[in-house]
Amino acid sequence: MSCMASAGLLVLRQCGQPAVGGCSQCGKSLCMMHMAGGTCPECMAMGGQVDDSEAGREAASRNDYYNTYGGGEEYGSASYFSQGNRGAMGPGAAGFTSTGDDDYDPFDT
Amino acid sequence: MTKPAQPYKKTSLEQFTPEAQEAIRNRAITGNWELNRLIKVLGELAHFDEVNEKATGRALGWTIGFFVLAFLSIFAGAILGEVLNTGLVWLLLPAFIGLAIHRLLRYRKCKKMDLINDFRGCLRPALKDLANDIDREKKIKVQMDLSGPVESKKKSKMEIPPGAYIKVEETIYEDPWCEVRLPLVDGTTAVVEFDITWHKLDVRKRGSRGKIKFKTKWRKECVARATLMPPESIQWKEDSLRERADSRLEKVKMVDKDGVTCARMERYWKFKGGGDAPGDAPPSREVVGLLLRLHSAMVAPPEVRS
Repeated sequence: MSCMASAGLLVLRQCGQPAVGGCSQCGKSLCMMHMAGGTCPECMAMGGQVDDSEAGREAASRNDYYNTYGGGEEYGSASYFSQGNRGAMGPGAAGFTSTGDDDYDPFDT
Repeated sequence: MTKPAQPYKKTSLEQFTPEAQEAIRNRAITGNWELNRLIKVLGELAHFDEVNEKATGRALGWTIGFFVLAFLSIFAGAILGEVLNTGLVWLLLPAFIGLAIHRLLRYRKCKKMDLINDFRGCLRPALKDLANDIDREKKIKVQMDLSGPVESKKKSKMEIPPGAYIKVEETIYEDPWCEVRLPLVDGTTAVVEFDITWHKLDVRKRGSRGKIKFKTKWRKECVARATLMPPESIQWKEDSLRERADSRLEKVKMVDKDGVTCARMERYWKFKGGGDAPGDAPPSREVVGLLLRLHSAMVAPPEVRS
């Protein structure tokens, strides 16, 4: 069994290292690095828990990016995102709007 | 016998790696780099630039202070010279002028070594966020000019309609300061380019008491351009990509490179400053956001290379 924790931001993929156990919440198999605390970094990030490991910070950062810019099958490759990831992705780029106080058109100049 | 620890010299270049020293001297980074090495050197440059900025501010403060003291010493010389009946007090004037000139030279030296802030506020954090997407077996091609708005980048200088002022002169600098080519783990190449157009306005105006005053204002217009170049032809969700772009600040374009369709997104930012050129930089998250949306618009992204 290989580790199923996510790695990367643009190119989302599975970690692939040999698994040593499973996540207590979602059950997916995890390697030593992603096993800290018994829960996978994605479950911790989605639950708003703080994991100060490198994997934890990566998962929290990824979660944050996906919440802002969206992701999932309607937008990218469905095979890249797990059901859990899609749940965390929120309403696409809805939060991505301009600040509103800038009356300058950059592409006219 | 171990050597005693050397005192820490804040702006001495010897504390940095040879690559960082060369980058500081040239105010530029070019060539092919491993990711970790590049992040480390950019970190060293960031440290140098922060310390150098503080030293510049301090040198300017001391310069102004000594010139003020030199001016006051004229009155002090006249009064104390009369009271104490000695001309020695007049030595304060050349002493303060000498110190002021010394500090002014130091200020100019620091200013000449100043680096553009965007690499530490934007590029380095973006590289750290993308670290797990970059193919460690390949090198990152880098072309960075960190010198900011200097004479060689001056594009035009002309008077513009002054409006309520007496005279307004605008100097424009074109500064395409950065291009990095990131090899991603799936074989795609992400090209990120940053262009800055600096507008410097030298304003001459009349104050409320009728005195003529001079003021410098800056406007910094930044454009980040992210292009994803897949290794072979793929289809793009172009409509989805356009929907996800903020049409007021972003532009989406499909471009053809050697028969392969690539997707490009541009985003624009504007910053203002008075006196000195603004040090603000585009947020790294927004630059990574361009790449994230581009990559997600691939219909069938290339397989990850093991």
